[in-house]
Amino acid sequence: MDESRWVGARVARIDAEDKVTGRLKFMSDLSFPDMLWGAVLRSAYPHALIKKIDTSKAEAMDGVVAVLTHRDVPGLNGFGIVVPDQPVLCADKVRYMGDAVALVAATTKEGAREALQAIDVEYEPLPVVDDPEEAMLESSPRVHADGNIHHHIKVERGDVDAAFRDAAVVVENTYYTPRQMHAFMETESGVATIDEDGNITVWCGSQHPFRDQLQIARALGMNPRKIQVVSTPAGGAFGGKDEITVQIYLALLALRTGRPVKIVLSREESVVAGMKRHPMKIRMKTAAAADGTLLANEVRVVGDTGAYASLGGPVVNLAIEHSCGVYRMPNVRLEGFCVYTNNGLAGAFRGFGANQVVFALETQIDMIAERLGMDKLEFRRKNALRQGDVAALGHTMTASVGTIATLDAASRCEIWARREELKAMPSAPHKKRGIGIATELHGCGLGVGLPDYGAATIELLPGGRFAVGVSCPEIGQGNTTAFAQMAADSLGCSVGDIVMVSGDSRHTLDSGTSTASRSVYTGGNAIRSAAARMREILADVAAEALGAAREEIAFGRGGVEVRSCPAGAARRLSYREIARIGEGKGRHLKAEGDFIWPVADRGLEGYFGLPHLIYSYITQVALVEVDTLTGEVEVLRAVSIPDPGRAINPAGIEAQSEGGVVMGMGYALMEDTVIEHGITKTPNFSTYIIPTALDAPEIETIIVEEPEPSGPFGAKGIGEAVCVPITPAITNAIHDATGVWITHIPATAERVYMALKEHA
Amino acid sequence: MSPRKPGYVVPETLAEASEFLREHAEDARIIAGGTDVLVQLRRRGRAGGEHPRWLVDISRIPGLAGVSTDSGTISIGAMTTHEEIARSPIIRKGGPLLAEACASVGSPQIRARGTIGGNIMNASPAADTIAALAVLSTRVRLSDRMGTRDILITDVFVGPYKTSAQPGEVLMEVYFDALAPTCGSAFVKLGRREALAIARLSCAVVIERDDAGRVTRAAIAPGACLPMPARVESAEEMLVGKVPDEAAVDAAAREVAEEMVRRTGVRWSTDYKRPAVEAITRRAIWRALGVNVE
Ligand SMILES: Cc1cc2nc3c(=O)[nH]c(=O)nc-3n(C[C@H](O)[C@H](O)[C@H](O)COP(=O)(O)OP(=O)(O)OC[C@H]3O[C@@H](n4cnc5c(N)ncnc54)[C@H](O)[C@@H]3O)c2cc1C
Repeated sequence: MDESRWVGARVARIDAEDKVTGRLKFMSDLSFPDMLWGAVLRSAYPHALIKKIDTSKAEAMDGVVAVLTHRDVPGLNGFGIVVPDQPVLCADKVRYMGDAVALVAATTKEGAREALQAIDVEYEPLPVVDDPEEAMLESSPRVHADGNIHHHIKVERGDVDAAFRDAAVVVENTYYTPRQMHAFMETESGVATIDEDGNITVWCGSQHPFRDQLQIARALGMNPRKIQVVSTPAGGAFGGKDEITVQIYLALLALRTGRPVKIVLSREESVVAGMKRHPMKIRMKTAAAADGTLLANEVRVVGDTGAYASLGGPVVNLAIEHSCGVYRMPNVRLEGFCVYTNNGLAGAFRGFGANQVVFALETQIDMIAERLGMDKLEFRRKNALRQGDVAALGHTMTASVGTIATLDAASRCEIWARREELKAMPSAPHKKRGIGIATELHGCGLGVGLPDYGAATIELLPGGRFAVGVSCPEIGQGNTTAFAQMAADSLGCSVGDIVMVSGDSRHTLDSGTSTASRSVYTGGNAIRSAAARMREILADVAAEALGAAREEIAFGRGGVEVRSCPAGAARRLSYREIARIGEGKGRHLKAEGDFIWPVADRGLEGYFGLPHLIYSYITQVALVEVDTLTGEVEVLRAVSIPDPGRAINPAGIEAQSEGGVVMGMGYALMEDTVIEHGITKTPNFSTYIIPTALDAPEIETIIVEEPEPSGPFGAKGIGEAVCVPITPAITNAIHDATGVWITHIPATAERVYMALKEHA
Repeated sequence: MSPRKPGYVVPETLAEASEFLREHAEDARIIAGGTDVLVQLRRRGRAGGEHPRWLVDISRIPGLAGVSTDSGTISIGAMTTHEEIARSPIIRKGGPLLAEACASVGSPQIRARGTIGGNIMNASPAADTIAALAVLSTRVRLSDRMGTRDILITDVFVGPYKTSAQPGEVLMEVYFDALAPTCGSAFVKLGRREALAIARLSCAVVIERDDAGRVTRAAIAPGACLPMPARVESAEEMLVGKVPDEAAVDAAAREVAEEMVRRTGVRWSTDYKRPAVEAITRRAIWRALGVNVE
């Protein structure tokens, strides 16, 4: 068993046909008889006290079935993955323009939106806090009563001051990163239904049905068992649907009206109310010895989490963990602040704090290499952590480490190997070409101190197919296809014999989130555990039916046979036959499997989630061309070299890699949600600019595999890393082309032009 | 208080349309491809503003569609889409820079719906066709039930998003003299990305030269950076009569940038826009001269 027939193959996505034909229903496509439309009244100010809410006019409107305010929240009026500091419906204060003040359910969508305008809310505006560093001052107005510093982390190892004193090279810079938007195609949307017994089902694309169930139950003051959450499939998430979005609103409205209720956020509402990537200001001071050995890193990160915490604390923690990247860094002083402001909301986003600090660090690394006259790739190779090394946070790198393998592959890729030649052939005299490289490691899973487990179910269905249940939702990343491949190889059947059940709190066991580059590793291990138990059950049934001993039963393709069976004797049973036998005996052929993540040998007291044990590794290389007259930057080619441990589905890895490159390129060159005095200035895709297909470079993905023994078939995660080092690879390429260092992204044409001018 | 949904009328003739438009002056809005109108309606709806009471669909009025040519004059009906213009052999020969401008608009979907009439009458400073039409010395025909007036494209505009059209007037067509084979032209656009990019800056250029290579006529119009579309004659004059060399082209390009600053004043964005306008103007002039400096 466990021969790799499906694992490692370029299997077509199991949902491909339904997606391309449009047959697949996302939650925002669902309709139910008698369904109402819900709408959310958002705040009129970025920061204000609520003096009065009068809903009487709205309630009297035709077609309006319910209007709810904070008074109608039966349970805890708050949610939040770490601390429930975000009100479901604001009672006395609003802290950003996306704050929800009231809900309406009406017979039409238009009617619901009109009713919002008939709700009178009296506000007393408060001063807006929009600069995170100012927000940290005692004298600043407070977004939350206990102060604006939500979280502070400080880690020190070695003797940083001595290292800086003795270093041959010290570089110190300040970096600024933008408020990137997830830009998923499906906005935060869903439907809730309720049955006669008051059981509620919330259909809403998200990243963790069981935590949603808990947060909904808490707000409704209801037994979680009475609430089912279905969160697969989601039309994109990228971290932006990890926190509660519209689930509680839906459940509240269904509970009040007794009818199905649907909410679909408009794009503008999604941009204003939804999650973003933390803008960060990063001060980084890095030292190296004359021979190119890295000596020390001093880092100070200030992250703008906006009005509520959500995962802001863990994001800053992970920024600290990733701030020394793949390098041996014996002396570190790392400090991070997660700060409340009235600037929207920031939380989980693919990369989770690494994107910002890796941009800073990989720029520092290039600067140091250049100062020492060393090759940039060799400098990285020299300082990279190897298996067995102690990482910056003090834990030992015992799991598989892929940096060297990805750097080796990078050194051979065409745009790196031929860089001088490619550089010398710009498409016009006023254009300059450059090649940049960057690398990172990326923590998989939740880290030390957080419960991190997986569970799976396998059931033999009457026709001989297997239903495999894993709760980690399909958010477009393709995990259900990878699960089916791993299940097929674990059971000796084909992918077509697997029916995946995903993201459903009633029909799957809790396997945690589809976040943190964890779902393939977690779900895969749980599937293997369940498959082993399933095989025992099948062997039992078959042994009895064939009159053989258990030990004589062997698994082949699509069924079992009796070992050492005399030729000619029909002593084989297909899974279909076993299913029939089981059915005849009234036996339910179902197995459960579970898995608990291994963690690092050492945690950091007070900072849960740090550090990680298993990391994915990736090196990315970019070839850019800079128009020196206008500052425009074009990424011509990119090479992406991920180490996913084992590529369960190489086609899936390539899709992740390509999407990640374009996402990281948008971050490098164009994306930023501009908020001024608490007001979003880029509320739609006409002003929030993301790369289009025509902007995407030619992308080559080279997969290197450093198998992770604890992973299913050797796999670890890869979903996040793919969008991280490409950003500094591009900005380093801009430097290679022009001599200008980019420390403020996005590197828009203006910024690049101004930097060129200053440099000249 | 809540935005009403506008009524939708589809007149069969110009007279009918014009009558209706005049009668409902402030309350009615022409809709062609709708790619500007619908965005504006939605935006206004969200801001709690009033919608026009009526949308007047002019697609059935005869004579508004297509590209034609007659004794050296090229006419384009107001309802002709960007896609049609970009593909039109007549335009590609007699006004290739207009084909370039239309091909740079939005995305395939937008080009398939958006019309040249809508692009002009929306009067956005960033509209891609306007600078191109300006250097072709295009005239536009505005008609109502009383009659017709033909004016120069640059006289259509009285301010950003404001035209001199009177209630009841419909833009029927635009026309210009086909460029002679001795003419070179170019349209260059600077956007924030490669597609679906509203011009941050653009420049349209037409240059005609005699056998000796001397410039006999030059037309230069920057786009998206002037309060109202216009040619920059002071820059054009710097080229006329010369066999253009680097110095002459640089001087003309610099003059366009200076003219922009004179007309708009110095703003926070000037530090970037001045050199950028200069760069793309220089590029457009060279391309019109047949030298690709992409
Ligand atoms: C996603 C997107 C991308 C875009 N990209 C670009 C771009 O790159 N470059 C660019 O220039 N534009 C762009 N636009 C704007 C728009 O598509 C163009 O201006 C288009 O040409 C408008 O034509 P329309 O037929 O859709 O006009 P409509 O929206 O129907 O009308 C626009 C205006 O003109 C008036 N009008 C229309 N026809 C007439 C007529 N015959 N007589 C009198 N008045 C009339 C209408 O009343 C209205 O005020 C974009 C729009 C969108 C939504």
